[in-house]
Amino acid sequence: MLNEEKVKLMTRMAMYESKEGEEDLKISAYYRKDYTSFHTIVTVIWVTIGYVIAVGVAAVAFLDEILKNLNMPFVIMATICVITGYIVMVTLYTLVASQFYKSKHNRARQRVKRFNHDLTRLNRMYEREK
Amino acid sequence: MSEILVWKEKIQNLYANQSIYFDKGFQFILSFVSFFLINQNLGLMKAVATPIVTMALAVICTFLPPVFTVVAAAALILAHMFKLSLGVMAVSALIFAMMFIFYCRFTPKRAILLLITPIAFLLKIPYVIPVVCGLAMTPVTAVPIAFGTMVYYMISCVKGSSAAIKGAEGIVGQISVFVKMVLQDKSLWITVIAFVICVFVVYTIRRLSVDHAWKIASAAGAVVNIIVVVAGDMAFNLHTSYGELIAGNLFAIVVGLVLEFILFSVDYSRTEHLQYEDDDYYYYVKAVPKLSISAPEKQVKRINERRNEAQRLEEEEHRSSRKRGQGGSRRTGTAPRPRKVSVASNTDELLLAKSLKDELDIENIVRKELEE
Repeated sequence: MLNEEKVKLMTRMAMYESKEGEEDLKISAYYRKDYTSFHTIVTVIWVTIGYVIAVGVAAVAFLDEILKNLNMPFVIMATICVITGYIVMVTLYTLVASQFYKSKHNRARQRVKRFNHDLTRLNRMYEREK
Repeated sequence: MSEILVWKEKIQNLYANQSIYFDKGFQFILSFVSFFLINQNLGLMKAVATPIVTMALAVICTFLPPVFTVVAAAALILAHMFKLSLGVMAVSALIFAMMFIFYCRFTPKRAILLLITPIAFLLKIPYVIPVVCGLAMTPVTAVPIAFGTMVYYMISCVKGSSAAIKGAEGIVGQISVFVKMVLQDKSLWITVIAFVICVFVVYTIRRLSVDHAWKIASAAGAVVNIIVVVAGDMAFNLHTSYGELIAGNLFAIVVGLVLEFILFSVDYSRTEHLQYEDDDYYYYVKAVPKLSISAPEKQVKRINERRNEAQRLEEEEHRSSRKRGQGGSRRTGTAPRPRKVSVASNTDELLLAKSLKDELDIENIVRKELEE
């Protein structure tokens, strides 16, 4: 005879495993601080690459104006602007990324906890059946 | 109004029951419309601009996660750009890479907004997007909206000036012309600024606890769009179509009202204001009741229920008589359990026999049943 409770539990667990389970288990293998720091550093690297691309594209777009005003004060001003923009961008993304990955880790941990709890319940059900 | 609420409930129930088909249907339509519009507006590479390729891509993307539709659309745009110029394709790829770096890495599920924004532009309803995102999502959506706007201007630049780009000298010249045309287009930046401000304004207002916050937010979003675009138009001497601007924003308000009805239908006339305190705080609570009417469920009343019951009895009788005939010799020591016949069931059966006497010949069956 089918144990309805067991079927429900197994379905829920299978659904979780097929959706977020794999990624959640990977995330929960890290400590929260390690996970957040690692991904924030990766984000900083990606943002740096993105910023370089953006500055490159902007430089191509405004090449004529740059060449027209190519003198020392302009170069210094442009450099300051680019560096300030980079610092602002990196700071913003660092803050956003650290919050984002912290909450992502929290959510993953909670889901994994629930999954482990379900697993224990299922195990108990099997033991009772024996 | 109640009739509309019932319909809303019915549609929600229908969607809840058949969501897998609806989702796939929406995904197919979105993919098909995206690829069709890209091919229609760019259409430089004839091999991929055919209806068969459009259909095939749309069907494939229907069965893949939504982010693949975005990737396929980007690849399709790059293919058309490649036909125009290798340099233009490279710059477009870099812009797409920026989109990935600054947005898609965090929320790939919402990358679909990168696709929906240029589609809305191509369908001449761009002002709907910031209003809808501000109402239903978070301010972070300003990023994909800005990038989506950029994608539209890239497409429109290639569509309108492909000859000028092709005519430029060498790859570097083509890149220079393309990037200048896209990034020095002031209307692009005015639109981006208008949309970003609109998202923030709509989001902020709709979260306020004032009555009719969603309606006010939709209207405010539309007003912000109009003011910023007109101000930009006057400052940089652009030539924006005011008729299109006003009509587009009116449509955005209508869409906002529809969205409010679907996501936030409340009855402000029954608002309650409560005030209480605990050890740490004073609470000023405003409770607005939701408007909802449950759809009436159809109840099927079986008018031939008794008849069915009679048929069941008849079949049972047949079965038991057959058993008695066949298995009589196989019976062993255990005696058959006497059947309990209550007064209530007897009365029921008598009534049943009486009511169906004219229709069915079951009198004998009932009599046998009673005899037992």
